[in-house]
Amino acid sequence: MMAPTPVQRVLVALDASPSSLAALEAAARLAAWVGAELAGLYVEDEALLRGADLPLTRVVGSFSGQVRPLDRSGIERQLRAQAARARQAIEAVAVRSRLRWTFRVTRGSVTASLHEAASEADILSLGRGRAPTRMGRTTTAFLESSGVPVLLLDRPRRSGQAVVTVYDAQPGSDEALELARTLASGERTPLIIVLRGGDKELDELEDFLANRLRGQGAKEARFYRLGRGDASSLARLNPGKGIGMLILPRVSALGKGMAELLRDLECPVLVIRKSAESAS
Amino acid sequence: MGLPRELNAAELYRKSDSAAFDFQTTRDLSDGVRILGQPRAVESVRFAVGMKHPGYNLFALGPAGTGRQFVIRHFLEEEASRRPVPPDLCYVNDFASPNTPKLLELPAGVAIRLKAEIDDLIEEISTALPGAFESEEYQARLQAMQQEFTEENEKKIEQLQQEAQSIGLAMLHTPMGIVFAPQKDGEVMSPDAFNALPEDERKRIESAIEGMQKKLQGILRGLPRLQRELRNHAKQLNEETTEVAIGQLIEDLKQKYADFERVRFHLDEMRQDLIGHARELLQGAEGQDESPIPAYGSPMSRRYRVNVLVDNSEASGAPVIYEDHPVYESLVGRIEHMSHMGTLVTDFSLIRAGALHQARGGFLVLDARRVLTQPYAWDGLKRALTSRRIRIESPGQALGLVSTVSLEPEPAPLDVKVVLLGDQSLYYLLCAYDPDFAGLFKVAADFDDRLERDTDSERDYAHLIAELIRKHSLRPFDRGAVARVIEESARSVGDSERLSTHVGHLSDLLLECDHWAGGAGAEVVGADNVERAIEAQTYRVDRVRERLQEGVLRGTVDIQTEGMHVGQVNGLAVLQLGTFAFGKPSRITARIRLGKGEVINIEREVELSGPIHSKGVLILSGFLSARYAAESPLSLSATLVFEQSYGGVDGDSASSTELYALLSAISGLPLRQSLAVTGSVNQYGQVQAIGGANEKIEGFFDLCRARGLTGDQGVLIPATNVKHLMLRHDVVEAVRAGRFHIYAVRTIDEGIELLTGVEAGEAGDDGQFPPDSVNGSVARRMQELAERRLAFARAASSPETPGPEVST
Repeated sequence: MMAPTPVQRVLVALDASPSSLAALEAAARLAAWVGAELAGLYVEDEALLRGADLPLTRVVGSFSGQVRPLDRSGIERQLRAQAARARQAIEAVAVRSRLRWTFRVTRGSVTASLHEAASEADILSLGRGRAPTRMGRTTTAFLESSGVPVLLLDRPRRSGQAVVTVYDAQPGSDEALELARTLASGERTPLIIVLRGGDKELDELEDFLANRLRGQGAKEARFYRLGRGDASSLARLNPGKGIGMLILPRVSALGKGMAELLRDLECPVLVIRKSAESAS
Repeated sequence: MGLPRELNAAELYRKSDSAAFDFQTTRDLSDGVRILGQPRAVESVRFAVGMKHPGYNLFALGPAGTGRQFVIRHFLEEEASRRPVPPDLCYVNDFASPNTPKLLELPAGVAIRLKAEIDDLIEEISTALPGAFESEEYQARLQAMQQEFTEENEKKIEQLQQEAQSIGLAMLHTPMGIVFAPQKDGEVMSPDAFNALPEDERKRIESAIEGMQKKLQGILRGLPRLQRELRNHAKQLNEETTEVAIGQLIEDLKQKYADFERVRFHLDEMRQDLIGHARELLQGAEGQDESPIPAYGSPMSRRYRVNVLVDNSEASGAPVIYEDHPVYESLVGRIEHMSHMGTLVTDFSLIRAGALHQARGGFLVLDARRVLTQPYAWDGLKRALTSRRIRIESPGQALGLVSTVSLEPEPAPLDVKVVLLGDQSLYYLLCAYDPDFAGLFKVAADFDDRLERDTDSERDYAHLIAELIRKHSLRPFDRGAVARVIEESARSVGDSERLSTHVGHLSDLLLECDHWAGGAGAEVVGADNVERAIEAQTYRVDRVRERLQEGVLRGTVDIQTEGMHVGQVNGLAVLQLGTFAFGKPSRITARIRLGKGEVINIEREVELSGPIHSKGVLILSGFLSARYAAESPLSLSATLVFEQSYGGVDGDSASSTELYALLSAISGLPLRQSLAVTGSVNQYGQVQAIGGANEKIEGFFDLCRARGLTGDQGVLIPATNVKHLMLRHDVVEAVRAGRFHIYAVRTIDEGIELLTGVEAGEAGDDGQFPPDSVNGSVARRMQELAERRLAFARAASSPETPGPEVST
């Protein structure tokens, strides 16, 4: 079932690390279900190249701790090899998922290159990497400055994992719900809608959404009333299977920092930041 | 001297008196096991069974089919039922050293219960453990621990990054590792900008970079220690969780086995092992390591199971085990292997019991020949009996040829009585060539193949027949049939005063009698059915005898049964083909000439005779010299031969026959060809007993009857063989009718008188024999030969005198 969403392009920033390759799988599945193109981007970090040009630059092995000399040609070789691996990875995934795909290598500042590429995409997906706090800062920067929804990827999804979205009747909620519904019905996985708001609003919200979903012929969705409560209980939403993807209308939809949220949930998170108007 | 005594028909066959039996058919005979004869063997078995000391194992020696096994089984089972049920045996894993599984010896019935309860325990644990490890408490504690580790690491890296920034350095991540570079305005400094810096500043930056690199190295080096700490904490958490999940389950089981110290000890070790391996076991339970063979279960469950080797829960006394295929491994047990990922693996659960394990506390019966012919089985058995322990190892290990890692199960203590069944020759060979044998098998039960025949033993024999009939579900035998079977038993041992103890042959005969009775539609087996069975038995194996007799009847082989002939007499030989023996007449001739006193046995010259036969012929020389040439040199050369004999001959049963031929040849008196002779002779001319008298008489009778009985024909047998006669009915009937004669001969003189029809003649006081007697003729002829030889010797020494003419 193809989704009627306007998503055309899912941009994946790749660095060929195990986590980014794993995240690629999740991005590919999302792209497949919304019928979008998968665009791979590899950024050769110019800061690295500059650093390599400096005299007496040394690299400390991240596993061995050994100090080795490093020059520009060495770092360029490594970056090329990494880009090649990233290309192979996206190609393999795209062919398997029968997706249209592109892959591009740019050189420059990572942030600037991503911004530039994101302007041509509908969803930008980023790997979380090994160190969530550090990446959290980069992603936070993106979430705050990017005009496109950002998918924060963690590990490949397993079958049966629920798609969870947060609904608070604020801008972005409807898009998030629509995307979640499409994903859940396409993958035949449970859909869980986390309702947020005051106690009085929750009843109304649930009735309203239940009716709307019935009208769309959607499978039964489960509602979870979080109210104004703490988001940490979300981790136990789908016991045994876990959460396959969390779709948030905004960064602050759950009322806590993104880094903290990611640590608690360990699942891909898609943040819809654009308003409904700008998306169409 | 006189003629030998002619035997009457009653002496030729000792009938069994069926009228003396107190039953009509064998159905009237009561049940009950009777052991026929064998008092010596029975006493030995009783003694061996009762002796508690080691080394008093039993060797039952005697021909197969003499009821050895029956007697042994009877006594062993009787003794075994009185003895207590021996303990169970099981092997369990030695968690500290899996190569040496531990042995548990438990009272009968306890092992199988322990196994069931441990199986249940494993079942319970396999549900309790995953529950404990999936619990919120466990997950939360584990996550907190991992989080702490991750945060601690990240914090250090973060701090390092901040420190680097504070001194104007950027920390960059490359695929190979981490690079520190000077930065300016948040950007990594370009080489030009860097080179433009004053020397001091560059040096400061370089040393700052080095300092940062060292700090980073310090953090990275500390990582393994942190990881180890994390692992230790996680392990401790796992152990605590496992202890909570399983502790009480094991404690409950320990209570049940409070009386068995080794079981309690094993359960304690099992608890420690479960605690140490809980995570691995959970992974195994998830299906990764399921054995391809369902019966063997997963490695996890196998590790803790009980391998019951010997289960005596159903036993009511000590065991009596008969191992009919005593290969090495079926005696001492074996360690099986199974294929796992292309290699052969084993563990304590694949240890299998041998017959020695099964027979512990009781008896083990083995066939000696089979044990000796199976490679290493004898050595394995001796080793176990000597050390009184059963050590399970492959022959390769036992011989030190294989040194791959394998199991060395704790040896089981051995208290068993071994009974070997074998024939006499095997027993004496083992005594002679195996120095260990006498020490290990101190008791021999010597089973005889015959027993004395009297009224009592005939009655016992009737009971044995009844027992066998019941055992094989045959038609009942009437009294006449039983009597006939008993007579046949006497005949089979060639002695009218003995009976065969060969139960195997007896059973065969009874089965065959039943078969023929069935063919005749009889409800009860009668004597005629027995007769039919015996005839059929003979007929089936009779072809060679018939072919040989055919040769004689057609004249190919020259045997005369009428007329008189000098130097020629009918001898009798016995041929044994398998289980069938028959008599074969053979023409023996003798020729003499002047000579130096040697009797040449042509058979011996061409090596066709055995040593006993040669001995018999030499005895003849002794007899001739002593009787006829005591005072003068024996001056003849005699040649003796079995005419038309192309196989070898042995035995001295023809020595009297040869002597008659020789006496006839010397005296020139012809011998009756209607008589056949058997019997050995000593140097005094006394005729001595021989074997196979029945077959020999019947052999000659068959030939004469085929040619037509003249009423003149008969056989001379030694008088000492009369008691052995159990002749065929047709022979007995012919004798009764006076158409065939059997003579019991005591001396050569009796025999020669009958054969020549001339008085043998006794030496007078002067040592001379009457001139018309046989002996007189022989002595005269010998004297003539001696004189001629003397004359010949004289002529030879004076060349003028021509030599005398010599003829025989």
